[in-house]
Amino acid sequence: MNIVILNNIVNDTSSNSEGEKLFNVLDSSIKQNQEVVLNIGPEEALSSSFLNSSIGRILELYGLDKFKSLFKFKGSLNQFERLSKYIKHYSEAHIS
Amino acid sequence: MKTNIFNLPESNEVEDWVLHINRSIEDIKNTSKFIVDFGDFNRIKTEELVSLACLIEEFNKNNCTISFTGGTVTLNKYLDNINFKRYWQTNFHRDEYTKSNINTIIPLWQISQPMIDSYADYANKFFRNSFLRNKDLIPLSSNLKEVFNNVFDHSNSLNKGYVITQYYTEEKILSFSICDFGIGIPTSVNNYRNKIGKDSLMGNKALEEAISLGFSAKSKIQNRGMGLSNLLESIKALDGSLVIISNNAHFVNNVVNTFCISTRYFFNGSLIVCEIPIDNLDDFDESESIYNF
Repeated sequence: MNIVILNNIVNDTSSNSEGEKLFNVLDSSIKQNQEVVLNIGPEEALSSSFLNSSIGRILELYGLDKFKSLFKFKGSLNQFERLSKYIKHYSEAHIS
Repeated sequence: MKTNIFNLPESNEVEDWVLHINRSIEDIKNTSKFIVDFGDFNRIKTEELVSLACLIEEFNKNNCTISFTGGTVTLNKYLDNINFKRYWQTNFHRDEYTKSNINTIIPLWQISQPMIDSYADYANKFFRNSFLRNKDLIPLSSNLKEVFNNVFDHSNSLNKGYVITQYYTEEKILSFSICDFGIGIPTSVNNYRNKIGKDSLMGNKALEEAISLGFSAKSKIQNRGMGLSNLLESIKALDGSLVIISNNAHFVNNVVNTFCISTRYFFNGSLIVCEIPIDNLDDFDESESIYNF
């Protein structure tokens, strides 16, 4: 299992371009069928632009079930609930 | 070339502010000197200040000299505390955060794309270090980022926009106001609709569409929407308040009221005001556990 510390791979959590860096890491893990624990700090505010370019894109390419099968979250409950809500809404809006 | 004096409208109705701003801009090409007269005003709302800052910036960009007059002692002290008047002085550094002389407000700041992340994080730390030590302020920083990204992705605004973030201690409300003089949200929506062969919508309908889940005007190829709908969801979850004024649309969502109406006036830009009651914020949580999605 691979622990990915978000702070170590992106310079910000606002932009599409930084979201792509996270996407590349997650995409590579999926292609290797490797489980990932995504570690997000309690003060990191993830914009929708950043999430759309990273996790949103993963969801569109591979689907929610694949995402859930390989990825876990490490951090506070508050952050987990926020990210879960984003995933739910993104799936409703963009994944048929 | 002449002097253009901007007298603050006596009423604090949005329509009067917009009409005053529009009238001022009509004269911009003939103006060499722009004076803001605060009259007898003792207090100005932050949403009025950020829209005034955008107006001043327009004249500044047109090489007008900027000066200020009027206002009570209280008002002028407040304006000094937020560095409002200094902003257009030639030696003022816009790329640095300026120190606030009061710990309830972050001074006026012109939005800069490279600094989106750092401003939002700065706001989070600023208020956690003062009044809100035990509170989870991610809703503040993430909502700031959503609106900043909206300005840069969709507004086509040449003067970027301005923000003021403030904590109202008596009301226990954390608030930010952001204004830009871009094309406006309804215009951005209708440009996209026309591009894909759909008819334009009335202003209020276009704004409602922009806020709806998953809608994107695709101003940038990677856009997938979610920004304004995330903002609204976040505010609703906290029983906060969201006001958006853009072009000829006025949107309000708070605990007692939700509406989106077409207006008689036309605002060339967007003004967004968010208010978050701090009692509804979660406590700051530094714990770490592993969760399954």
